[in-house]
Amino acid sequence: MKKLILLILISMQVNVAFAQASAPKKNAPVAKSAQIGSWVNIRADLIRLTQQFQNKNLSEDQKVSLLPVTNELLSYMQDIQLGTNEKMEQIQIVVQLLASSLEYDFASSNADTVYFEYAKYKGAYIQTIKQLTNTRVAKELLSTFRDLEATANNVQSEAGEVF
Amino acid sequence: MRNLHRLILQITSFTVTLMLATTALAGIEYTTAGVNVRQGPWGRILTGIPEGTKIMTLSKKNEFYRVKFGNGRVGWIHSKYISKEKPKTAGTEADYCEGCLDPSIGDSISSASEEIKKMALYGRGAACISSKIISAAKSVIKSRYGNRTRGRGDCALAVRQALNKANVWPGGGIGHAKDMMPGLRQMGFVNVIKSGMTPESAPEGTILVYGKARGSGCRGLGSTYGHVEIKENNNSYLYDGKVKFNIQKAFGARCRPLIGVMKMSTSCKTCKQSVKKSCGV
Repeated sequence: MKKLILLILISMQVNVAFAQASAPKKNAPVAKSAQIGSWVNIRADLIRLTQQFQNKNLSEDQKVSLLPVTNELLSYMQDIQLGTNEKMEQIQIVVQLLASSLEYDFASSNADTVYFEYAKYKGAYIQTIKQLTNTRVAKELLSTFRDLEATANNVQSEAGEVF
Repeated sequence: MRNLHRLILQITSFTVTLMLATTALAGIEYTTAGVNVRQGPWGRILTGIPEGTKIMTLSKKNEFYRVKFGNGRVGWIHSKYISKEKPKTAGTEADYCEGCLDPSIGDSISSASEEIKKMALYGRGAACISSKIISAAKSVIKSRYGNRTRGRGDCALAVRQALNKANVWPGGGIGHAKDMMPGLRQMGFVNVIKSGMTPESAPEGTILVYGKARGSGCRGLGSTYGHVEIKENNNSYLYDGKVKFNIQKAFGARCRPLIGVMKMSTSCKTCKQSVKKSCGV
């Protein structure tokens, strides 16, 4: 119940973020969240966010302002149990979002948020990233995940017994 | 009556034995490497102390010694890194840090306000050190992280590398990002965070420490280990990249709560003499 309320709040936040980011553009898409809490709704929001990051009419600041809500959605997305086909589709949608937000994501925040998902479904993520048409972005994404992986594995080096 | 006498005698004998045992264990020793000081055996890391630091062992539990260091601080150190002999290398790198762990630069708010008062007197020297840290951070980003404009999860390592390069800190890791404040205090930084302070309102030249995420909707490595960045100004934050925005712009204040705004104080306790001399502290 608590999670459902949180998802409703997030979705409302998404609507506000869309509305703010789309302010300069007339007839901008605004999420309609009649039913919240399912992958179907989050999926729709993630696709809309991808479009917003690709929107050339939005400024860098407007796109950066979409990051917190993107990260929250990517986080809640991980709580939803999916079948194999839906999971593969989810990975495709997430990779498209990561690719479109890469230029504006100054802290690799989206990649960090889905890092544990990436670690769990590494093969599928790598394969999907390699299918991106923009090879520069694909390389950058793969290298970002490699760095995060190295950090996760070597995290003890900054907190180890001897330094 | 006779029983009571016997009991007193036994208690006295036990106490004396215990005192003798403790005395036999207590001794002046040295750390053989830069080493973590923990709250208990394998407990939370309180701080790190450099190689060659003088310590007094108090008791032992498994592979850990309970030790006294600095001016009376107590913690636990792994026995592997303690020796009766002072390491030969300590004369160069660690000597200048001996006895540097002054508890007056500790965790208490009163000691912090004292430091802030001192800073007002010696602000120029501290600003000089901060400027050296910023230059070193830029150099580290260039040499080790390809001058990138995006962070990729190595914030704690990069900030520590900058402190090493600036000759402010001779040792290695000082904990995950969220745990760096004790180590920074040891160097001479003071937490000047105030209620309502944001990364934007934090003073320039400070090191911003973010804690682990509060509540749901936050995932990933940073949500567990926190984040740390050097604020050059409101358009430049330095860690394993030189970025335009502070971390809260990406995650929000709930997922990356600001817990420390660390400002260099009057005396850089672990700085090399050359830095102290050139900055006049």
